[in-house]
Amino acid sequence: MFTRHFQGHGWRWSLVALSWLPVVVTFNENVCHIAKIEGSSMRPTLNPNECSSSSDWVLLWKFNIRNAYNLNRDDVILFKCPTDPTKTYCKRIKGIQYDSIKTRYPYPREIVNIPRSHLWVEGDNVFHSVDSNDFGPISAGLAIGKVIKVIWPPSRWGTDVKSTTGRQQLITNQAD
Amino acid sequence: MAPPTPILCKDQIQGEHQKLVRDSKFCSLKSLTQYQCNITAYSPEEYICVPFKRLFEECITANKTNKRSFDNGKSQKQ
Amino acid sequence: MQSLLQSWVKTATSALRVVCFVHIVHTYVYEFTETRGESMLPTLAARNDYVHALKTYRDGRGCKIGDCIVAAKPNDPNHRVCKRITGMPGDIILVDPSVGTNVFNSSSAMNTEATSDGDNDGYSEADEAFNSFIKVPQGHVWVTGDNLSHSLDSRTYNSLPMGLIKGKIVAANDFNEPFLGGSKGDFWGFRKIQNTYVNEQ
Repeated sequence: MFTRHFQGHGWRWSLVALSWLPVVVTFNENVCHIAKIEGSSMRPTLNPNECSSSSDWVLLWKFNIRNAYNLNRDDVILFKCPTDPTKTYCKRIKGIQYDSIKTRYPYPREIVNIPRSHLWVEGDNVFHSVDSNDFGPISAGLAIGKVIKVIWPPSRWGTDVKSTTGRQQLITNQAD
Repeated sequence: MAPPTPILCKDQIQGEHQKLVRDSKFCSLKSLTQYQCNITAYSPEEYICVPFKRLFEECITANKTNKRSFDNGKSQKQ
Repeated sequence: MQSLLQSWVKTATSALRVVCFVHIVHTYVYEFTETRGESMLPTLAARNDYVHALKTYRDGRGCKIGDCIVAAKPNDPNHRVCKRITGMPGDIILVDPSVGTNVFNSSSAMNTEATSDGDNDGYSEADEAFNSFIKVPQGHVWVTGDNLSHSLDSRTYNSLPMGLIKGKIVAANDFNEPFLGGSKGDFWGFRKIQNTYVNEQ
C-alpha cells in the first residue's frame, strides 16, 4: 500500500518537473545562461593562465541582446561563428553600427564602415585571434549573449570584463 | 555583412572552372526557376510573373564536395 | 482569500509553462506563421499567406540549394525574411543575372538602348552584370527572392551567414482561398513548397 502510494507521488512529481523543463530552457535561451570559455583568444581577460587546465565559466546575459543598442563597445560577447554556425566564438566588441574601423592585416581594406546592426569584434589576445579582421563585421543576429561576470573559478570573481584591452584607437570616425 | 569576398570576372573563374571540370568525375547541368513579377495596374491582388531560368553546372569532385558554376541566365516569356 | 491566491498562482504558473513550451516548439521544431511582402511571388502571396516552417533546419543544417528558407535579416535581426537558397558555400555564382532584363520597364530599357547606340561602345549594364561572379564563403549561403524584380536579398546585402537561418519552409496555406476547392489546393490553399533546383534535360 505504502509503495503504491509512493510510486504515484514519484510519477506525479516527475511529470511536474518535466512540465517546468520548457520554462528552464526558455530562461536559459533568452534571459541568462552559464557558458564555459575555451581557448586563448581572450587572454588576459578570460582564461588568463596558460598552464592551468581549468577554464573560466561566465554568466551570460541574453535578454533582448539582438537589439543593436544593447550591445556597446568593449562588451565581451558570445556569438555564432559566421563561417561555421556550429561553433561559438567569444570576442570583444570593438565597433558598433555606423562606426569606421581601422583594420589589421588579413582584412583587404584599411578602413571599414560598419553597416546597420553589425558589430566589429576582436579578441583581446590580438595575435592569437580569428576575428572580424578575417570574417568582417558580423550581424547582431549572430550574437548569443553578453558576458557579465566570471563565476568560476572563485579566485577570479573580481575580474573586470569591461576593461579595455586589445587593439586601441580603432575608431576613426565615431558615430553618436 | 559577409566576409570580404572579391567580385570575380569571367577570366578569373575560367581557370578555376577548367580545373574543376578536369578534376571532377561527373558534371551535370541543373536549373532553378525564379520569376520577375509585377503588380498589374488594375488591382493589387493581381500580378504578372515571367519565369526567369537560372542554369547551374554541378560537378562532383573526388573529395565529394559539389561545386557549381553558374553559367547563364535566360528569361523566357510565359 | 488564501485559496483564491493559490488558484491564481496555479493558473499563472500553468500559463507560463504552456507559453514556454510553445516557444520551445516554435524555436526548435515547427512554426506556423504569416508572411508578407512581394519578394517571394508567385511562390508565396504578398499577404494572408501562412507558412509551415521546420525549425530543425535552423543554422542551415541540411539545407540545400533550391530550398526556401526563413532567416533573420542581417541588417535588422528582429525582422524575418523568406528567400530561396541559390548558392551554397564554395559555389561560384553570377551576382545578378536579372540586371538589364527587367521586362516591365520596357520604356527605360529602350532608353538605355538608345544611349548605348549613341555612345557606340557596345558595352551595357547587362554585359557588366554577366561578368561579375562571386564565390560564396564558408558558412554562408547566397539567397534571392523568387520575385527577382522586388526583392532585397544577397544581391544587396551579400551572402547570408547560415547562423541566421531560422528554418526551412515546407508548405504554405493561403487564407484568401476557400476551405475546399480553391485554385491552389484544398484546405485553404494548402500546397507544398518544393525545392526548385532540378536536372536540366
